[in-house]
Amino acid sequence: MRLAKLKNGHGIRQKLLLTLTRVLTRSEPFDVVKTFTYRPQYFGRYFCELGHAILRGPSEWTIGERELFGAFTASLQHCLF
Amino acid sequence: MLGDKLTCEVFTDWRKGEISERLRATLALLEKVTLEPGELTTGDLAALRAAGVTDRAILDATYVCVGFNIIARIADALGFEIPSEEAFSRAARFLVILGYKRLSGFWTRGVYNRSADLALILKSLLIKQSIADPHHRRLSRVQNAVLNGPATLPATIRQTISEGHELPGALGAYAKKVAEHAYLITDEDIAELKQANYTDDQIFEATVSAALGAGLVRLDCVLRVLRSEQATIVSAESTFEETCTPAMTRA
Repeated sequence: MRLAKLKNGHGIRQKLLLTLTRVLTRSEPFDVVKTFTYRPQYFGRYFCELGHAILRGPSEWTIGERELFGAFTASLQHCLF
Repeated sequence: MLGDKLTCEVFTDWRKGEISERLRATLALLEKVTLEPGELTTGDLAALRAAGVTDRAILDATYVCVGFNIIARIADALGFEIPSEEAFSRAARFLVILGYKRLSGFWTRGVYNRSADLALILKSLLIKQSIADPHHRRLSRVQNAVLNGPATLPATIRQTISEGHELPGALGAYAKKVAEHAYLITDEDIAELKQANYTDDQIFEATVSAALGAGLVRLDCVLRVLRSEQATIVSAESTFEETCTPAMTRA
């Protein structure tokens, strides 16, 4: 993660979530989670709501097929995350 | 979730691998949407139509593609670390329980801009769309927060970045790189921005604005093609009624 603020500049509520994640998964939360929880009113909250509807909401595609579309799209951009 | 084997097969060999025609045609579309969105034409929908993929299914797949065009750019630009296999499977289980939805709600609560939301609903009611866009409102909320919401970069700068217009200086060059090939961004690019006195918040906002813009352009390309296809059908039908020429019906 190239921006220090997205690593540990979170608000109290979000710090609590990250700590909880650390305890429950016994590992460091993913950078994507840190990005979604950093200033969530700017981006993360609304993007997660959209993402949930797209990937988990009603659709003719199964959840697996939709996850595949996502991974496929990321791979086209040389993105491994 | 699909098994690793199928996933690998799709990435390396999806053109001839053992997947349904419906899936193959959709992957071909998503590839074009991601790599050359400007080249999309109604002809690109022919294979999907032949495989029986509906408007709604095309839109749903496009939205997944758009979402991952956005997040992959952010991940590449900001240099997300790739989790180890072990950490990933442990966290994947956790994510199944937690769900994406939990990341909204309590953990991310704050001042909610209700009037802007109401304005979006009214706008979507007034502008009647020929193609029902199932995720339009949620996407507008993202757009509104990222480009008009309170932030450190002025809204006009964020909008200029997302629309892909030229912006002078280091920030403009960086935003262009995020939109065009985010995977080429290095630590030096970020260091250069910091040297030009941009804060982490400003770099974050520029990154998200550029990535969102790249996603919105791609969605527009697909919507444009879907609408022009529909317009062709409508005009073909009306010509058919007038002249009763069987040749005018859609193959």
